[in-house]
Amino acid sequence: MQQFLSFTASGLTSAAIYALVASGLVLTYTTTGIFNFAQGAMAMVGAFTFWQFAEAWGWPAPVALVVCIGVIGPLQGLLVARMFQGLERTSDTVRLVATLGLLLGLIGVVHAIWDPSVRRSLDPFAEGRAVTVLDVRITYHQLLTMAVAVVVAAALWVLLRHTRTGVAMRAAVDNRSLATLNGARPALAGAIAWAIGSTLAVVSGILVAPTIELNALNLALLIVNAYGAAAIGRLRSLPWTFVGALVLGLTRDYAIWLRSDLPASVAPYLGGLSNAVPAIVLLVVLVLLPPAQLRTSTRAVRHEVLPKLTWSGTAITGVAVVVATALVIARLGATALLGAAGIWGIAIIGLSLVPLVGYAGQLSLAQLSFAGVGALAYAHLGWNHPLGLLWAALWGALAAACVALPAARLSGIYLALASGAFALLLEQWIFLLPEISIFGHPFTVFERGTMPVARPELLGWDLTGDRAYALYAAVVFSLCLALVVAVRRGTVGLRFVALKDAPAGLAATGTDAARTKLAAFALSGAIAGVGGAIAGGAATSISADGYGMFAGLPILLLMVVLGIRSPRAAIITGLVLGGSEVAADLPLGPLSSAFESGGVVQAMLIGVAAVAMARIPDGLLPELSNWARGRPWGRSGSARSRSVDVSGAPELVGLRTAATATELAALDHAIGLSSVRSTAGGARARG
Amino acid sequence: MRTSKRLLVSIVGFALVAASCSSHDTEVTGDPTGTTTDGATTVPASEAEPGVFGTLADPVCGPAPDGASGAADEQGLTDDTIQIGVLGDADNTIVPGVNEDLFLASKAFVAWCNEAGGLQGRTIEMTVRDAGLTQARERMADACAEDFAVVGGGLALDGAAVDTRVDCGLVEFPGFINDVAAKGAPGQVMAVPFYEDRLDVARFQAIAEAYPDDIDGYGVLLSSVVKGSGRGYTAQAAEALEPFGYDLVYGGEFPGPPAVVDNWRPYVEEMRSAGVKVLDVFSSPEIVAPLQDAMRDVGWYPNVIILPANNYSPVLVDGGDAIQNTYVGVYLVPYEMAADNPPTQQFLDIMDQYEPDWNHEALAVNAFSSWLLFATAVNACGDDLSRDCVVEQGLAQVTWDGGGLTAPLVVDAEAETPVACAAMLKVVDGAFEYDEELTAPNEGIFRCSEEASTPFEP
Repeated sequence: MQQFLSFTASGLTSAAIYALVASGLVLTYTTTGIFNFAQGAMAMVGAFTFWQFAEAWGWPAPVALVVCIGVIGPLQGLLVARMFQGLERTSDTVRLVATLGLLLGLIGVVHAIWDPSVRRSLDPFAEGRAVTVLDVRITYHQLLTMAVAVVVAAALWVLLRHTRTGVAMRAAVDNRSLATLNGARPALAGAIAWAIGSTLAVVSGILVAPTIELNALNLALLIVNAYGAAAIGRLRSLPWTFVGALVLGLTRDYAIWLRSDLPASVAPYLGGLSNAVPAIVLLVVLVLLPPAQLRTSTRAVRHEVLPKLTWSGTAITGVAVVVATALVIARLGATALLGAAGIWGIAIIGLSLVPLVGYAGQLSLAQLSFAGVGALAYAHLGWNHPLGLLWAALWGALAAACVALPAARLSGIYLALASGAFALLLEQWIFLLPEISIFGHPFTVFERGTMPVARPELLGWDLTGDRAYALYAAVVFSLCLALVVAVRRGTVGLRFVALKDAPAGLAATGTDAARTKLAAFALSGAIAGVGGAIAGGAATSISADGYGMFAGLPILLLMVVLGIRSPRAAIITGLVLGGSEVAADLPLGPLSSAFESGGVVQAMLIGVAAVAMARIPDGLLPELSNWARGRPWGRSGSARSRSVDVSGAPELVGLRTAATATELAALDHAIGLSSVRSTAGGARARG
Repeated sequence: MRTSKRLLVSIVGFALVAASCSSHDTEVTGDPTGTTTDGATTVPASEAEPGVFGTLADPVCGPAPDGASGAADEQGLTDDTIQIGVLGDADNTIVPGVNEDLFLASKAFVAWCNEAGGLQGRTIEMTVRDAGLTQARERMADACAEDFAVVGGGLALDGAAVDTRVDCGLVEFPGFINDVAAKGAPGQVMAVPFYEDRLDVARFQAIAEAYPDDIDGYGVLLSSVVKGSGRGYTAQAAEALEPFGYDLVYGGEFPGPPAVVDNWRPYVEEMRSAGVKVLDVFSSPEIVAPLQDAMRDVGWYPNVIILPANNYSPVLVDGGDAIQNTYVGVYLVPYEMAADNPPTQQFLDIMDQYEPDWNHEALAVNAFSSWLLFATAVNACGDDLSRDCVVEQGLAQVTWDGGGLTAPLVVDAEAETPVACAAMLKVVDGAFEYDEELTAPNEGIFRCSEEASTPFEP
């Protein structure tokens, strides 16, 4: 009984943290339509600024609190609202990427301002004094956290249901035009929503930071544990989010309690499972929720650019890739050569996102995990032969199917969360399993934490040399590129595109949407698996900690920023994320710091670019080719002219005067016509 | 692929933990460390001859001995210079600044040595090669292209770089070795050794003698990312400690980075309900303070908390006032005891003179001791300086105590049975205090024994 009380108490303290964080998350989603992956990063900013005020500058705690909660919180929210203006009209993918970009960017900013190699910590409120209830000690700090969580949940519920502002905020998401017609100002409502969400994040950051070390990455990723609570609240209902937080906190702590009762033979394998409980809860909730509850918010209204891929263009690209590699590796030094093949490995993983996210519109945060599974399969089963890549492809596809099958009914942000949960499960439990016995043979997933990967031999050619392997990797990339183009040009590709743009039409042709989704995931997983195997061979060893969910984000971000529907974006992704050694060898000057994998410069560049997606929702490459053809530059083109917003309600478009050529061109672009009107002469004739 | 790791700092701990000692061999190094007054070794640092360090009889650095310095035609070697690389991971984004003291101590040694005349009159040209966790092979390839040897550094993921180093014939005197694949590779001499099939249990031996009634409640807590190879550290430790009377009642895991523990209470409750009396926290110092805060919140502490040597760090003692019953077993003479050990005082003076911003971690001694061993080997080679000779002479020292900085450790495990040594420090009031009664020393301030270097089944 005593144990039950103790674990319940600790579960409640965990639940309080989750409730705070998840409430802010749900509030932001309900009022802006954007699932804020950067909620934890905002909390991190709050914690660091509080440390700066209270510890570094020695302000009295109440003053620091007031400044942080009253000034920094809302300010951060308003800045973000301004940055994300226009984001609500873009697709789920772009919105996801924008918040992920904010996450990366904020981490970069915090690293830049507060030197990460210095250790900092915050003291808990009331210096750890505690009260004892039913023989269980609970500190004042923990009681405060619980109280704040309850108050916040109640206050938000009242705000959203019973105040005009709250109703306006919800209306702005449900039906923006209608809300405008009724006199609401959606932009203002959105700004208020972000301000409140950010303030909540700052509060949760200040309350949570004393429990853990003040480390940017830890705080920013803490939020991941709370996704399950938000999912139980169906991203809509604050009372249910609060319940969800209770369920999550108690389940996690009871799992830790129960694992000590496991028999010794099973304990090492299930012990790690209790660490992955938040991911499991998230996955279970998403899979079990009835579909009616999973209505996502506004769908994209914009016409999206889908570049046409030709075989000739693809052949040129493929040949150019191999030739360029051959030319460059001839003059690279030994150190740079070590990284050359890795570029193509990452490029292949980036390429795998194109059919899944670009064509079929299915979000996936688990790409690097699929690559990891493929790399593992190749390392265990590869037989030193290029055909071992088929094993990598098969296992990658199986892993992707494990996401697609249970998540068949999910789409948009829910699918992203489910794939993220799957990635976390792999990262925190499966990849870390100790030795198991399969039919008498000992088998460890990652032997001793790192596994050697052998480079293959092809038809008598030894590919173990760095130059040969880099060339081989480039050839494999070209083959994968050809595969993706073949898919795009075939009926399979048409089905994928239909899955995204016109699911009803797809169903009308008698095609099973779930099967198409499964095919998309399987194809994507297979290509990612091959990429993982190639990258593993490039590094000649793989380790369990190299395939985490967070580590895979830059690939997704960069692909979407560059243009998720352009396979050639994969080349640039590979170069940027894998090319640090090659860049060091070439005379690039200061530009080479952008290639520093994981460096602050790269993080901020990717972050800024991702946040700017609202302005360039199709990605950089399509916009560049538009610009080269003389078309106006996406959204910002129309914004810079006389504020013609053709995707809003008609009342918002100033139709009191004749349309100018610029406005007509913007209209044409928005509805997908090429510009047939030549000059203002044509417009005058019409006007 | 990008890797994350506070695991590194923990794995470093594992490496340091498994350091083993040798038997007495006072021939080269003079008096055992820790015994204070003896004529030749009580010269205060400021009055020492340049190039003389601690208890080492001959000057470590100085001008060329008469007869010039002939040398084999080796890479990185000229008549006036010797090119050495130092490997490390400080510039990374997951655990920035990790193991930075390896670089700083190396820089201090090189500055001190060059000022005294260099190695056999050759100026040491040191290059910092920072792998940032993910570029081990690349930095080793850079070293292969330019350096005579790599000294004093250590890579978290050194397993990836072993083949590169061995293929190019580069020799190393590392500050620590992490991956078992890297241990025992050719051309390697370790001043602070790490074995892949032996566990250093000296600190557990001390605890068993002082707390015999508590060792039947032995618990291990570690991060799920640092479980160790094969069966994992928990199983290995339980088996190795059974002959000493330890009984494993708890093997706990918490999520490693980038996942993070947001609440330590359930883990504390778990330990309490399992009946843990002696807790082995096999991790790095950052988590100890939050863990003990949670113990204070819950109102329960184990009777003894044992930490490995990598926890000998300001991070631990700055962590707050909730730390109790906590012991760290170290293989080096603690900086707090410099007043009683002139070599340590000299080391501190050198560090404060050349690198005053150093982090006061244990690894600084690892690096410095490696450099001293390397320099001693170079001097022993004399005119026949070559990579092979340096390795041969390094191993020929057999036992090495860093000129008085560490316990006498075995450099050549083929020639001497490895021994494990520890000095027990207790964390009291935000500082480390040497606990002589608990240590029951037999070698200066350390307790050393062969039984404490226990072979285990991986």
